[in-house]
Amino acid sequence: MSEAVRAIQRNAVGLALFAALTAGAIGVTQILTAERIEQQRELATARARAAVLPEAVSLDAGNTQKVPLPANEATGIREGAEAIRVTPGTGDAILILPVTAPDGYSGRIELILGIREDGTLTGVRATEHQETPGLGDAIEVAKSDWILDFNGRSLDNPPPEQWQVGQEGAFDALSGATITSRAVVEAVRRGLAFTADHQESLFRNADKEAGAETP
Amino acid sequence: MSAGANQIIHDGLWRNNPALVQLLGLCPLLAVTNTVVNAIGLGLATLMVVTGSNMAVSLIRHRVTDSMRLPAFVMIIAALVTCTELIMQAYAYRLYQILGIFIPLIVTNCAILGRAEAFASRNALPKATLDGLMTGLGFLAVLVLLGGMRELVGYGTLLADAHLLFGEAARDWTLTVFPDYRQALIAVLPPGAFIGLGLIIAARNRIDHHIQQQQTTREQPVESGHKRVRVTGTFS
Repeated sequence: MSEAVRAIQRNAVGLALFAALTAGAIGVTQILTAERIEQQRELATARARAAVLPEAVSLDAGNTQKVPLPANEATGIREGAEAIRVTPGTGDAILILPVTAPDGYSGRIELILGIREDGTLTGVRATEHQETPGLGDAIEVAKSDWILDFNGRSLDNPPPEQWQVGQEGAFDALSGATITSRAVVEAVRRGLAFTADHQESLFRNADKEAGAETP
Repeated sequence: MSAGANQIIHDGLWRNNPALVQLLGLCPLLAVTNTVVNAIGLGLATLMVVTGSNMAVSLIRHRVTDSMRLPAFVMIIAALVTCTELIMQAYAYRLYQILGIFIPLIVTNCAILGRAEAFASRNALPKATLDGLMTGLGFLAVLVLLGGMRELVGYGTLLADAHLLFGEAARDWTLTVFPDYRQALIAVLPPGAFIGLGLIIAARNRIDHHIQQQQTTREQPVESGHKRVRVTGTFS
């Protein structure tokens, strides 16, 4: 009995030591890489942001503004999240809105939408996801053109009842990844609806400034 | 040492190749080898993990009791994989995004636990390190070969998107082998992976068979050699 207890004790202490050592190694690596990973993430976000804008519009400090967003469950927007409003020299202001599709095939899919003031989409990109390689990851623009189909769409184009994938809908389902496709289409629709609901507060400041600039 | 070292190198790369002979780690092998760059990315990550885990396991081999051996090894491997994932995120972020779930899945590559258990836990550090390197290289070689076959047949290119792994300077490394090539999707999709791997294994067996036959001929009685030496005309 006491022999067995001693063996258990020895193993438990040994494993605990190991756990501490390995966790320590991970901790050190994490501390060493954290800053660079953060930079890389920001770079990737900046790239994605630029990608949802029309080609003529470029992102720079002068024409962008952060817009605080109200928490919203449907679009997965959490307290403290921000959209970016781009006010190009000519044309409508464009809102870059981060939304989450909570119901991807393998969890959440993070998307960003570029939405013009009149409610049309300038582009959609997936920024983070864990969808199946070879099937669901075709939502990435690097893998297929599927996501470009959202360009120019709005809540009325296609009509509301066709905002779905498959035969009744206006959107093709990615082959082998219907759940992924449906999750993205739904999330984009909810993002557009959210923007329409908060049109005033999301685009208001831009109008004021534009008004101020023209005497 | 050197005879042993040769044996280890031969084992890892050829005789006991993790992907072609032990058939371990096939899930990532089949999944990410649609391009050479993806294959190199996962291959290098696996190489790092298997070498690191062999070293760590060899260092602690006298300190672990039998009953805590496996959990300890798994912890080491998991920690190394997490570190590799962090490093990839920091230095090859876009490739990390492409390889996605397959980086954490290196933990489940049985080839790594297999080497830890079968070799590193019984051998000294230099041998275990070499074994890890060779196992990793053997795996990497098969990944790159399969990735090359699939990219060539699938897209008609080699080394496309090399900048994801090697930085901006590598952007124009892409070799367009067949210009205006119409994609052969089957090679890029999962069936292509199975067919390709099957062909590579068949080729390896063929070569192995050939080598064995040669060895048998060489071991035949000396007189046949004598006869050959005297022949001055054509060989038949």
